[in-house]
Amino acid sequence: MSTDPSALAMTAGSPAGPGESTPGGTRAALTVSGLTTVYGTTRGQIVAVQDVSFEILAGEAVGIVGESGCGKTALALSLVQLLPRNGRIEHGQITLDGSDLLTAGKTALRRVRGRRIAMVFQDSMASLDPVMPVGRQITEGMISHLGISRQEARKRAVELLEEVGVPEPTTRLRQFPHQLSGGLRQRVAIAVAISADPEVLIADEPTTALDVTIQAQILDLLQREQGRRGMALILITHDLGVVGSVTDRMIVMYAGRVVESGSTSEVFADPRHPYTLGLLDSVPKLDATIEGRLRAIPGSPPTGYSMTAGCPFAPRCSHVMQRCRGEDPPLAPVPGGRSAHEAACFADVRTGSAPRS
Amino acid sequence: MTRYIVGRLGWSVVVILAITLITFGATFLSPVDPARLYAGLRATHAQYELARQTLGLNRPIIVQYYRYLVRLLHGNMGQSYSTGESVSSIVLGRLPATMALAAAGLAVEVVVGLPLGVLAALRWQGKTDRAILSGSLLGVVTPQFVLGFLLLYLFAYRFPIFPLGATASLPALVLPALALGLPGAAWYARMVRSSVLNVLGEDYIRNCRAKGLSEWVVVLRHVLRNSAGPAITMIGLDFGIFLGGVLVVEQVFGWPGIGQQMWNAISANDIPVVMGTVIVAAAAVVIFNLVADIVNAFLDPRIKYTR
Amino acid sequence: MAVSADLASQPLKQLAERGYWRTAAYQLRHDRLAMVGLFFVAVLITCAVFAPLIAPYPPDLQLASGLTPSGNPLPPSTHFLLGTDPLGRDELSRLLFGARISLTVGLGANIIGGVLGLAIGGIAALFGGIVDKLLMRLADVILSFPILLLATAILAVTSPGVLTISVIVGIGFGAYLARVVYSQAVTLRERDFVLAARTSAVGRARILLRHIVPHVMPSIIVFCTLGVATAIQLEAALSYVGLGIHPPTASWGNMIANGQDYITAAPWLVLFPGMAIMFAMLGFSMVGDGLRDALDPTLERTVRVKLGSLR
Repeated sequence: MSTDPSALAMTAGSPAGPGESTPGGTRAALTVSGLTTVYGTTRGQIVAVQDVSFEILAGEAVGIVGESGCGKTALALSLVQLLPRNGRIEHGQITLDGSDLLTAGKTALRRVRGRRIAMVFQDSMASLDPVMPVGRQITEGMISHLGISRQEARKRAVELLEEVGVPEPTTRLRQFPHQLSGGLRQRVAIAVAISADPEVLIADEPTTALDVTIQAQILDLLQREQGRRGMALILITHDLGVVGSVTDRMIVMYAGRVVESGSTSEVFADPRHPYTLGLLDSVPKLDATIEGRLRAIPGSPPTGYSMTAGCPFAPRCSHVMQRCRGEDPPLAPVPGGRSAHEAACFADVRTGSAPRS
Repeated sequence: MTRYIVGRLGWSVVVILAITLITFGATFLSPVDPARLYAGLRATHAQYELARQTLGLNRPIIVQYYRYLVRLLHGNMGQSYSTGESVSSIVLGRLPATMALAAAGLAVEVVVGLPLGVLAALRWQGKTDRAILSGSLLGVVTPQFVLGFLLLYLFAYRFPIFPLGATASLPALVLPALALGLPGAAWYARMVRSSVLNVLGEDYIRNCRAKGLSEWVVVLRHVLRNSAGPAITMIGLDFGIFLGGVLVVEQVFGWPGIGQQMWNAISANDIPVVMGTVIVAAAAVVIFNLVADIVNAFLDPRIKYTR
Repeated sequence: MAVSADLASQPLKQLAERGYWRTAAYQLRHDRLAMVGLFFVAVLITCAVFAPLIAPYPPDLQLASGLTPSGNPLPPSTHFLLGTDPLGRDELSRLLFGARISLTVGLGANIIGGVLGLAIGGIAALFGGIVDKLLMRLADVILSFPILLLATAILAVTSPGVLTISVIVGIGFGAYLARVVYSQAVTLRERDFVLAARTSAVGRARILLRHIVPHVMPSIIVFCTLGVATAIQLEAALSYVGLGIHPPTASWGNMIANGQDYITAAPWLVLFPGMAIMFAMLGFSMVGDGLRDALDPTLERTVRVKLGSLR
């Protein structure tokens, strides 16, 4: 079923200026089901994302956590279909407000990117055009998507820069990316992303390259904008601290699969997957003694070439059982938890190795 | 910005000085004895010594070099051993013809090479790309003077479209310009392709697409402007080799420029003319490179604002 | 935490496990253009090395039977497979011997350039300070010079020969390689230097040489292979204008010079040497390109593969 480009455009948010939010609620903004993404290399194929399904509700903040190589960036790129040349979405569905993005035509896709789904990347220096003034990079998208005039766009750009906390916004418009500090640049990158008032903002490790103090400011900013505009925020990170402070729900990824998902507070308090347990354990805690050692998860993540049977985490798991090596545990609701809390594990990490029913 | 220009200017002066050092050294080491020429073959020993004194050849080398530089600054490059005319008037008189040919050759190179390079990059690994790569490989391995002869034979003799003679006129400019420009265009296309491919692989281009900009806009507004800098520097870098090619091609077509002049002077052992041509040509290359660097600095804000 | 592997660099990790040079050799063997180029180069080397055995006539021998009654060169025939030149010499034989010149200059210039570049770049990076600045400025000055003009100035006053030409071109190449070696060596210096700082000066030099050389080898190999093509072209151009190899020794360049007056009557005199030059340049260029692709472990390799089906 192909998607009518005009239908996609019509259901987009109103071309209002910054500050007005679309009504939130419990409707799903973005639904991903069975997404599988593959990269081709000289040595074979890597399955970067394997059968991933989740739902993002309008206006909620979801964190996607995992180590480097777990597929989170591949997932993010798949959502907007901006995979590198050797990447391909094998199958799945990505539904934005009822329309399937994967069957959409090029023009429809163009209208979704930036206007309805926007992205912020980790390296702000690399994501901004080095030879174009930042003001123009902000207005570019606005003019293209909202059809407003150049003067109007510049006015809004100044307001946007103020909103994201860039001092002296009018001067900044004419400056180039390398003239700004890292924190300012990332604010500009965020301004670029939200300039067309998208429904979904995907932020891929937005604070990893910044100082800790700036990190907090950027996260604050993201939360503020999310609330103000009613955007859904997908925050991709390896930093549990970030997830804990910003997100409502979280999804834990390992080796291209979702291994646990649920509300952030519940997963933190009651993790059900050995990997999640390991991640939480390895974060240094303020109340731990100095003599205690940091608990690391032994071993290393799989390189993604071998499609062995069984749970991908089995080689490193302290709760591993015979069954785990032969069968791949499905993502299922955890016993004794809320229905939204799911984990892909045969064992019950609360008690030890007793199998789940 | 001014600091950058001044820096580059200073460097250009250094290079030109080095050039004069080499030409002076070569003149000094040449087997032709200017005193002998000056005094005449049948001069007595005393007359020979007088000649040496007059020409200042009995002074220490450094002094001679200094006087050489001073003369150069006044535009005096000596006299031709063959005709006795002032070298500067000989060389500079022929310079316009060479510059015209060089300009025409460069025009061919850019007009043919640039679009092909960009096209190949945009259609990476497709049929167009492969065709352009094959074509350019052939172009790169064809020396300009060989191509010159080929063109001369085909289009001035076999199918007499262009004149065979050596007049500095527009129709006569076509074949030599093509001989110069086509191999250059092949090289240039490959370089441009590589530069554009680099830019295409950059994160900010992906980000432009993530903003929902059309492919046209991405290419025209972002890719090209970012590849332009390296492209212009390339022309600058190439100019030295290019000018060398101009001088050789002049010989093939009998084009009345400084190149043909120089080759004649070499056969006649007319050292002053040879060295004079080398200085003028090398200076032209240095100046051209300087201009290219400055233009690039204007285009790339990173250079403008950081240095 | 555990060792993480970014997806895009995973193929590189696999390659590292397999061995850098073996992977490069594998890549090269499967590069069709490079193999064709290698064949061309092999043909060239054979012609050059075995010229005295293969050539039907001595290259300098002027034959009365080599000219028409009116004294013009002969077109290709059964006696003279590629015709004769204006002095009645066999074109084919001269071409074969000309290959010797081209190859000698090509290889000679690049060996000189490679050694010079390695030495200058390495020493500059090793010693740092004034030596560093001086050597690199020197290299820059040489680079700012067009090689042809440099060669002209020097060759106009010295007696040209294979050695002189090779040295001059070699100096030009060396200057370029010095920069390349220098920039790579400097990054290494930052790493190993601190550790080796405590050892003696000799030890330091030896350690760095053992680390620098393998690291820059790929760049040097690629540049020098492509450089043979450039050197061959330069020698031909120089010989053509009379600054290179002088007759009667046969060089493809001076063969073209000899034949240019006869271009309308006997175009093969210019055509065959020209084609020989292109053949040689093509061979080395294709091999050089192939080497560059094989030895340069960047992303291009990972994106070149076409995706198959999932299973």
